[in-house]
Amino acid sequence: MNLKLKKLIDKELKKYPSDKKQSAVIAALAIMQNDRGWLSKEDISEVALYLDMPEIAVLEVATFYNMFDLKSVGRYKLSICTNISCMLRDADHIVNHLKEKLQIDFNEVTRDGKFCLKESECMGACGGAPLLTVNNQKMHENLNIDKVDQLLKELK
Amino acid sequence: MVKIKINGKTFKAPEKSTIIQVADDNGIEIPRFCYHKKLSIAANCRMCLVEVKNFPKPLPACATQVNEGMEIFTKSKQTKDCQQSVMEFLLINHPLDCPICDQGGECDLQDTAMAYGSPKSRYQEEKRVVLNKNLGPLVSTDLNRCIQCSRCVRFLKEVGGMQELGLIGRGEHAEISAYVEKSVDSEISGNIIDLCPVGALTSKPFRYSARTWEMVRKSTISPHDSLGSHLEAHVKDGNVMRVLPKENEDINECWISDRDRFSYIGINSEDRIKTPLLKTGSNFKPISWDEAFHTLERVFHPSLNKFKEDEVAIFSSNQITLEEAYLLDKLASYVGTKQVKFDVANNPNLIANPSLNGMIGDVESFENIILLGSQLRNENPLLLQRLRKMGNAGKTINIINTVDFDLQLTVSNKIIQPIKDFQKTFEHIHKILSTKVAKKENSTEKNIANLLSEKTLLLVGEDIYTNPAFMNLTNVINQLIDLTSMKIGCLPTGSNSVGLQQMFGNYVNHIDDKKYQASISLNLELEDIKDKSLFERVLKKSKFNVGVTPFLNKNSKQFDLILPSTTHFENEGTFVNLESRVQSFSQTISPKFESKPLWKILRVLGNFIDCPDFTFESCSEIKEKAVQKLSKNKLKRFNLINQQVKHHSKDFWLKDINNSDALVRRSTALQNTKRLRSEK
Ligand code: SF4
Ligand code: FES
Ligand code: FES
Repeated sequence: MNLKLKKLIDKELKKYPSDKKQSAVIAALAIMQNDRGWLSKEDISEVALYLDMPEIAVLEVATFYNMFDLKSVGRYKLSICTNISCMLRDADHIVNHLKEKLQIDFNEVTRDGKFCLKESECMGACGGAPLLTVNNQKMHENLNIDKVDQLLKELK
Repeated sequence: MVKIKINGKTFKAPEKSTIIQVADDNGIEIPRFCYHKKLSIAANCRMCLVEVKNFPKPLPACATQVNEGMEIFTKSKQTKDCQQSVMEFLLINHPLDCPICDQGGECDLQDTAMAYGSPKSRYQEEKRVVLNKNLGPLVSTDLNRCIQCSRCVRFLKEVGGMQELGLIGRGEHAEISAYVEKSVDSEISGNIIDLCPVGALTSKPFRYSARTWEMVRKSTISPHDSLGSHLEAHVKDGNVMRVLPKENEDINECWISDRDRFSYIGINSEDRIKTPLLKTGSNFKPISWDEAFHTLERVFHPSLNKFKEDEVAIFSSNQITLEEAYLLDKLASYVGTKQVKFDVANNPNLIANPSLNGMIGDVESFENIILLGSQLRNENPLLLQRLRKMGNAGKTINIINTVDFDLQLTVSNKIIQPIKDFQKTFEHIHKILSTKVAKKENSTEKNIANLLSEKTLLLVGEDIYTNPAFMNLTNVINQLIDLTSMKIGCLPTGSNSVGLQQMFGNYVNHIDDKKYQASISLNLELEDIKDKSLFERVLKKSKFNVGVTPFLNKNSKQFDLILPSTTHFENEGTFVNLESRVQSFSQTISPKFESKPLWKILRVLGNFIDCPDFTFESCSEIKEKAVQKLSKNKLKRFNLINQQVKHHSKDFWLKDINNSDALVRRSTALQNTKRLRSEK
């Protein structure tokens, strides 16, 4: 963990009492992931050490939240919601289309390392179902096949 | 107190108690998986849902506090529907492999499914698969069976002091795991086997060897530490198949240490001695017991061999029973010796009556604990667990020690220094309290000084109160007792240390380094002995050495006659635990091969050499006599005895929990665990 990351985490730590360092675990993991692209076991051990937590407790958090990736996810991670509202609005159709077009299944990365497809739980934005996010940051709503194709073209 | 109604009947319940507690206290059954009275509440299995009047939805009984006038229904239609649905839900991913599951017949899931589940399953789809993890040599996993109750996780975190397991993933993908390829190394890890309500965590050594209904349950007392934990040996075909805790809230609660749980494996070790052995040249030849006793008669009978004073040296383990100690005491005075070391793990005694002085449970009623030099994690893991509980409850645990052991608990103040500096530290504390000079001082000593009151307990470990340096400490500690009315206690380690201490009060637990006519060693191996070189020297010079022991070992060659005694599980007797509680136990299995319980060997030996008053017919007859000899003094202050014993070893002896006695040393499973050398 370099100084820059430590500084970022320290900033988060200031928000909590000094004997409750583990409160900052999600923030610390997010900071790590933003820096590395994904979280390796070493990254998780480092966070555990820095926050004085058992490693397994950090792993619990990292595996609980969908947005943390424990394997390389390529340049663009497409997380598509398959929960009930999106399902009713035919998310499956979009999923199948993506799988076919990218020639990958869920949790796989395309051979050129560009795309990764993830199944995600409800994002609380059912009004825009079906939907997906790119790299946890940008959401694309009311998807149809054309929109998806257009999106893939735009992501370089 | 509040008044509530369960199934129409009125009960009084303490405020803030939960529905499940009230139900348990009054014998009303509510099924549960995740709730355990000794663990925090997770409320994640939902098996305990009950209908409560005026609440639109059923409530989890384990997480709902009672209120005045609450009306609860544990058998109503709504409750029953919930129970059936939850049960069906829990079984969706359960493999239903009871015929090949070790838990079969003693499984909460099985029992609850029979009592509360629906007879039919509607689930047709595929079940999930979870790969098993290797958690080490003690606990085996079948994680397909896991119902994610998280009891194992909470136990290791809250009672074990270190979260070694976690629930990783989420929802359908959640599974129990240690961190990447790590094993579970807690010294009380075996308890998760008992806690797991299904067959997901089972005992590796016991696996596939017996069914619960085939075994007879025999109670005994743990021989491995001074707590005196209550154990239950499960016996089949004359063999101990496994050992489980027997609940006793005052002593071991519902836990036992791994050493208590897995030591039985050593009973059938290849080292077991089958018959008495007599040395002929450099070899041993098997002889009969009759021949063996005749040999002893020739050496010890006063008409054949009259010893002068102190010509026999006797070394004994601190695990021999009270009855054995009583006979030994008689025999020793009969052959005219006071050269008895009845606790070879220690230096000669310095103070009178080292014991806890109070009950184990009382320790938790103090606000502050000061732990002066103890290897608690290796010596007494369940007492440590109580301190951990106190730490979690916001009480202060303070440590003064020579080595910085990782006790996995919250420590408020810590002083690590060589033992020779302890005196200075205590004198400094005394000065802070008795004069006003140090008012502005800011130090750990000051912090500790401020804690001293009648709500403070100073616990002194065996390493310290048997160390010569302790003599300089007693004075200032006694002054502190007078000044602050703090309480004191000692932490002896042997299962019968206190009993032996009280029985042999008139000996000094010491053997002179000189030439003897004969020596006798009782249930000992070189690893058990603190002053190893003294032991070896005495045996080398002595003319005739008798070794009474269940196992052959490296130093057996030094004996001229070896008599096979039994292991603890084949013996009966009485131990006095660290709180001076007298606890008797009976045999769990009959002796292996031709071995005999030590008390029988001593008893017959006494007859062969015509020791007077040696007509005891049974162990309980000896016990009656023996308990009368126990001194009942309480430890209120530190009173020095034996000021000038020679050969006093100042060395610190680092103990290893899995190397504490002959039986533990021969338990293959325990020997394969990571050694718990827990200093930092
Ligand atoms: S392994 Fe057993 S104790 Fe642990 S969560 Fe699963 S069912 Fe509960
Ligand atoms: S179900 Fe997809 S966003 Fe809610
Ligand atoms: S026992 Fe109450 S939810 Fe599990």
